[in-house]
Amino acid sequence: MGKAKILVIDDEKIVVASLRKVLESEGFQVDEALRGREGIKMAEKKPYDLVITDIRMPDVGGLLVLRDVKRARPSVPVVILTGYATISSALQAMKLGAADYLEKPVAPDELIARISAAMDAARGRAGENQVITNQEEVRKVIRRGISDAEFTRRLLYEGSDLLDGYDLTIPEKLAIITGDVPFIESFLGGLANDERQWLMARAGAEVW
Amino acid sequence: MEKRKILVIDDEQIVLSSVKKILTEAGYDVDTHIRPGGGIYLAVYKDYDMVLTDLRMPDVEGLTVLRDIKRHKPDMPVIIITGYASVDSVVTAMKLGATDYLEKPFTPEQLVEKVEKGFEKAKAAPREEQTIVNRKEVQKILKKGASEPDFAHRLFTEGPSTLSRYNLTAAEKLAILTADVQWIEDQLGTLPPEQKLWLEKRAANGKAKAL
Repeated sequence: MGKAKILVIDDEKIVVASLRKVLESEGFQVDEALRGREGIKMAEKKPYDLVITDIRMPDVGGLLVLRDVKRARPSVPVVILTGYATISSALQAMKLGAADYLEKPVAPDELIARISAAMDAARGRAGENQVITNQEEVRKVIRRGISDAEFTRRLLYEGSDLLDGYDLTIPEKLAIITGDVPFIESFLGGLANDERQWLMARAGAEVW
Repeated sequence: MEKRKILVIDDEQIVLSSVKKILTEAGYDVDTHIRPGGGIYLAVYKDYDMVLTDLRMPDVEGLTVLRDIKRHKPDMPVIIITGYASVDSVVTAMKLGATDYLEKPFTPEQLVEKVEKGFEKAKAAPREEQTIVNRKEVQKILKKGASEPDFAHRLFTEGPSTLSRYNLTAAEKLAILTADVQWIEDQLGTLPPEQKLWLEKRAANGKAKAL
């Protein structure tokens, strides 16, 4: 069996270098990206066995990385590694399909153990379909956001937790909370102006 | 429509009373149990739609409650409620199949919302296998635990992360962490004496410190 390929996405060079050292010493093949978007592109092009991503990065955050990597390759486990761990973001990450959530600094043994477990767990699993099947439910959430300012405010603070009561898949939740207009329009057709605007405001919102 | 039945397990009577009051007012049929062992029995043998359980209780860990209920009723939504939330315990509980996680103290609205969402979420949740499928891997760990004191010590002090590198299902990890000799022997056959002894020691020391 060839070496497992891991992509590390983090804007701190020192973190990337130390992860590379630990992972390579265990026989993994490591690629790195210092920007979220660059990492997403790399994950779209190459079939990694696992992606490790930071949450807070200057261009796009870990939530978008999770969404786009899963969309391109649903079965690839994505492990969140953050220096700003909170209970709330850990809970959200796990609910949104992260394979694991680790706090920096992480001990080398712990890192290897957790990513090995994540790869083992992902083996043979197909991952969730990256489509919108609950079109009416997605539209209901958007319409509610437009008409209910309190709901929109809570969505900003509580994130996907607020959507648990709706019949939505993880990709649908991720599309809504990250304001992914093109993805939603590709399934629902052209959105009304107020729907697009509401979603675009979400795209600019701080998540996690 | 018949009321949904919820079982609440917590070692604090005041928590049980207030949760029962809030959920009863929200239209649920609520039972409570102050002893985790009895709570597990009720959850397994009576007909509940959801279980809420504390994470830290004196005689049995919340992890064990989660394990036993999921083993018998894999589709049962289980929400963890705790006054000792940590990032590690959230991540571990979610990986082990908890439906959600709620920190104490919580408002009535937060509790009701978590329960309602828990029912929604449970509809689509995938089912975890509740048998030993990785027999060799489980046997490997039992052998290692019985022969390597350092590994056994780490398993006791560090809990599930020690097992992370092994190819085990959540149910298998729970069985090892909580030293469930009977369940393991039911499927693997009688264990060698040293492995059985090791597991029994874990059970006696107890309280597999997993969460």
